[in-house]
Amino acid sequence: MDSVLEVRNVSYLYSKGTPFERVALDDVTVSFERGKITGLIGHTGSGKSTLVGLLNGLNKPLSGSILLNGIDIWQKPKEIAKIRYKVGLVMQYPEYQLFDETVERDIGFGPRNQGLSDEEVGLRVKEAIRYTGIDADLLSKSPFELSGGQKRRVAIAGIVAMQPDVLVLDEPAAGLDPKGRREILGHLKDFVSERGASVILVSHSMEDMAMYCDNVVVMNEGKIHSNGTVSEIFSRADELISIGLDVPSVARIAEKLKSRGITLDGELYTVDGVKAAIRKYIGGANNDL
Amino acid sequence: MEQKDIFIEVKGLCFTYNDDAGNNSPDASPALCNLDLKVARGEYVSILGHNGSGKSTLAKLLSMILIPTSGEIYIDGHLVSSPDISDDEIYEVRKKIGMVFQNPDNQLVATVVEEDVAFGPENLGIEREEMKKRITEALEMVGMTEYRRHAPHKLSGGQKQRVAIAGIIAMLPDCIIFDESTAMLDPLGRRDVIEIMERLNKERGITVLNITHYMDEAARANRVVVINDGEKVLDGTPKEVFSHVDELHSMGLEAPQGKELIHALNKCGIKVSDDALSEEECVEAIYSALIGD
Repeated sequence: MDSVLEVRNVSYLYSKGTPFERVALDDVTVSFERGKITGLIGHTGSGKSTLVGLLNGLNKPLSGSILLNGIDIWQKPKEIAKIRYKVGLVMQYPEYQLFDETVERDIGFGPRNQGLSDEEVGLRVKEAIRYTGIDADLLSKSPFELSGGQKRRVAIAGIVAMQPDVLVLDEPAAGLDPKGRREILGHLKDFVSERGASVILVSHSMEDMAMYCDNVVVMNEGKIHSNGTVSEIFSRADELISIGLDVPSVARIAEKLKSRGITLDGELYTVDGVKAAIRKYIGGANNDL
Repeated sequence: MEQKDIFIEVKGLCFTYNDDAGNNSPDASPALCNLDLKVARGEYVSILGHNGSGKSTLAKLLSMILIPTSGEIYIDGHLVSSPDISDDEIYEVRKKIGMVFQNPDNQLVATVVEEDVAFGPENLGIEREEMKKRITEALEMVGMTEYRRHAPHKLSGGQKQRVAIAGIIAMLPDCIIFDESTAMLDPLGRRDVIEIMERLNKERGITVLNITHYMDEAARANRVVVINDGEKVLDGTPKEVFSHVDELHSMGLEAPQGKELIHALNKCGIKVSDDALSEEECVEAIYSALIGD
């Protein structure tokens, strides 16, 4: 596997040396595949956000190393800021970080700080709104006039505009309606395929994982629980439920049909996937006749 | 619905947000437009709508955080939308409605769980002995008794929401509005909060309004109200409302996945009874369609 980010034997503690010391990550080793959307799931407190904060150098692992394109991100600690352009992190509720007068200036803030010319910044902004589904008419507006979902997308565009190798999104769709979720998450595939970038998506929505991710990493109590393609992970429903997670509702429906003797074949974790599998099942049954 | 059972009654409710200068700008589009709604005491109602549809505005109006531009709101017989309402009456009615918000970190105020639960009743001037009893009961109800002396910020999201709910329960409200209270939670946290919501409704007869973007969650209520662009567009049992799959799509919403699946199958010519809604019912309907009776 061609890994863009590799986490090797990383451990992290909070409140080290105090009575409140707590192990957040315990000897974690995992790789994130280049050019893919990898989902990161786990119950609250499982270590997802801690891991995400280590990936772009916000925090430093207490032991172990993090490799970006094969190079330890802490090799030159003074240059860690450069890593943060390469691994772009979109935190929870990023719309609270909007601040500039216009949408255009807000999205261009990162690239300007990277020292790009006005012309280049303009191109970056144009590209970023395309990958986040923002209408060009909004560029001259104040970000504060926008709806919640639009603000969220502007905040994400601000990170995309820095052209990171890896875009890390922590719960980007929390609190959005189904259409808003699709608008934010649906464009990620274009960003990945056209720019050759990689995405890490943290979410509590198993349905979103199934819809938008190629791979899924499951965390539990500071460790990697499992790691594989979406279909590999969601075929282990009982295990996921036992660690406070779940599978999409259609996956449970497919599972219950199986227990009643209807074994479907295919990608049994999205509505479209199960629909296709049922059509195939019927086709197969008809062929038998 | 007998008149005496009505807990919330909203008539011709309109609300337009003011511009920055605090003026009611004539060209601003209203957040709510001519909304009528009656909720009986003890009902369990889900409210759906896309972002910006007016759901949260409605919640803020019902809890008297906002005053309507026009129209009337009655809470338990009190006309609360009138600008002439006295402060005493507002406080009296506010005790009847509690709200739980989306982000658990925004609604915990104390450094110890039980003190956080005490915050509401303390402000109502409840006596100490009574308060201790209420806190114990409230924490028990949400299954957080063993965390009584813990620090709230060390809890998981779901646990924080349970503490926030306990703080509301301790004020003994007649009605609780959950404004996307599960949006930030992991699947287990969501299951816990929903279960508590349903127990409060069943065991204590508390009127529950659940504003949510999770369709499977909405389908568990006795009634679903859909608001679109400030207007009430659908109102009925979950089965009635979620039978309008195409209409829901056009409003940026969805049906629960099982329902979506059956809808999609029917569209491609595979006839499945579309009366099903819960997962079990969907399995049953698809099973009978495939086995061909």
